[in-house]
Amino acid sequence: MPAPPRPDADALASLLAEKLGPGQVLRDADTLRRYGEDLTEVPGHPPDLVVRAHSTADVQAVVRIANEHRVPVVPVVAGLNVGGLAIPEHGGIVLDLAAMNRILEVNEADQYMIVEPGVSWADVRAKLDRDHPALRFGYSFSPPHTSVLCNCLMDGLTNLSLLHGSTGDWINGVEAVLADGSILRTGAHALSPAWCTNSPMPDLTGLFVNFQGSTGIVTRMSVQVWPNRKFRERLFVLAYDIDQAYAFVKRLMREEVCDDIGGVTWPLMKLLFGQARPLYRDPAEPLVALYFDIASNFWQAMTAKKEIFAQLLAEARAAGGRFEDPLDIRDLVRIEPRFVAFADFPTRFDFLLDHPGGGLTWIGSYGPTSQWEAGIKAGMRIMEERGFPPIVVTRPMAGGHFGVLRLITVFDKRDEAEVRRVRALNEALADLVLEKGFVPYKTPGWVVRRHAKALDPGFVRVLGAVRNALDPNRILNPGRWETGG
Amino acid sequence: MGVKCVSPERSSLVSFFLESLLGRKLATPQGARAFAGLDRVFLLDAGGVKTTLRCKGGTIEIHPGEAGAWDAGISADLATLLAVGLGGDYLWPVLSGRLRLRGNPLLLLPLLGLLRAPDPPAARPAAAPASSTPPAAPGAAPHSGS
Repeated sequence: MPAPPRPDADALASLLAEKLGPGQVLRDADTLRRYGEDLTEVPGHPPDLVVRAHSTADVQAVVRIANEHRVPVVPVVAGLNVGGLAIPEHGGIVLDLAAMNRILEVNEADQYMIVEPGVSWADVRAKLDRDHPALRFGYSFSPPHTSVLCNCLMDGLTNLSLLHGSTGDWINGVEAVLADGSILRTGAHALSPAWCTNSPMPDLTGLFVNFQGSTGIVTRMSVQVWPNRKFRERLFVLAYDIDQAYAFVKRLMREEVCDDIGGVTWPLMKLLFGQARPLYRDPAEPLVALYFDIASNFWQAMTAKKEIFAQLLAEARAAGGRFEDPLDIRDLVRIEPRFVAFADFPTRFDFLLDHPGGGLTWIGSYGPTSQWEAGIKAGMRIMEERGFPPIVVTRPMAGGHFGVLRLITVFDKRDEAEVRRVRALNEALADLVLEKGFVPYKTPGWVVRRHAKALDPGFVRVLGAVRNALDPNRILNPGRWETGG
Repeated sequence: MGVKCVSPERSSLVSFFLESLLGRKLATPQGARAFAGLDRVFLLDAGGVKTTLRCKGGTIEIHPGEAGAWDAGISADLATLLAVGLGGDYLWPVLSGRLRLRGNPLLLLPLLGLLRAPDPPAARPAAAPASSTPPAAPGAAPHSGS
């Protein structure tokens, strides 16, 4: 049957306002412009209208109308995604889920919580600290007001990812609205009143992880939380050589001493001091700052862990590595209060978000830690050659089974020539990380299109079949993972 | 009165640390006293990263590298310098060879005095971001969040 003609924006707005009430449908030019762009170099495109959902029933109503009229629907919460993933490149409806912001349950005994899409990192932290101090959650480097649920669906990374893997692995199950407006529940909750695990069910939760909203709109999620720790320390170690630094990181990550290990290259620290585009490094300066979180409920364990840490650092030095003595983050904050940005979570990296011109983008990727050093060095070289500060963030994940390699660029979005240079830079960086065995996470549509030919043909075929089965009219966030399948 | 990085685009991380640290300390009565009327040039060598401090009329200019003649200097690894900046003792690092004084050591006393001056109260972090105090009794320490 041929598709019916897509209604114009007036007609669509009337249909939606009739169903939801006029206050939930927005069409003013400023709102449409705002929802049509993000921080990145990805070209913006305004939606035809914006709908603010307050309930799962609202989401169902919007999706039913959109499906009937073949209108794209792009779900969004904070709109700060760094990959152009929520830009409505085919117009249609942007469905703002920020008002669905309830933490529906925190189950202390079974260690999970149920959240709606609008629940932020700051909400979770406040709730746990206030009502459940025996529990903790992992926090990303995202701004505090961004969505926990979206991060999990995008398989993000947090300060507990060395222990527990990427956040897609933390999901016990979801409630999702499918393209026909029906509801699906996944995980053990599909059969049981408890929602404490995704096992042993067939993994339908996976149909919504990393699909970027193209298979359904998740309206609830059960996600794991963990026991809090009484004692914590965050130590910084400045290192002068990439190979030596990451040999130490890899040695340490296998000992299960740290809750989190990360590395940031030198320009990030200069950005913190207000330098808009740090390109100069004194040859005698450290190349990378490594940080290590050590935590336990037992002081004896803290002491033992710190002794192991000190021993491994001494061994790294004995092998020729040059490292400064560890600095406790609290001392760093005493020396420079701006280091509080690295001290606790959720964090607020205003020095990245408030860059002149407001541009922020990255090629963030997951891949083999055996290729870290080569990837970091080549990435830094490419960025420096093109006149951008070589900002690299790294983190071992899931006990060191894989690692993060994130190449970050801040830029002036108002400067068209600079935006074009950033696009070319990111293409080169995406090519580089893939060559080293890393795969960009929160994968931008342009990366998928650029490397579609390298995808396994079976993967393309089944991915297409899954999407056709769940969203035959392809209304859900079109342009994501378009592989031709 | 004030502290300023003269060439921020060519400055090292040490320069930015010093600008922030000395700026806060100079704002305290103790820091201002330690530096009153000083007309000197100091060289700081932090693990090979050289920085020149030109002090005159109550202001400090921070220049990258060895910028001209200097009256006295300090060499140490970065961690040792930061420890002194945190108010730590400098005699033991000098005696143990981790902190080396160059030129007339007496000329360095105002600079060391300024580095060791306490921060103004407003500059101190409001709360400790992490918990590491050993318990007085089992289970006595509070949870500290993630």
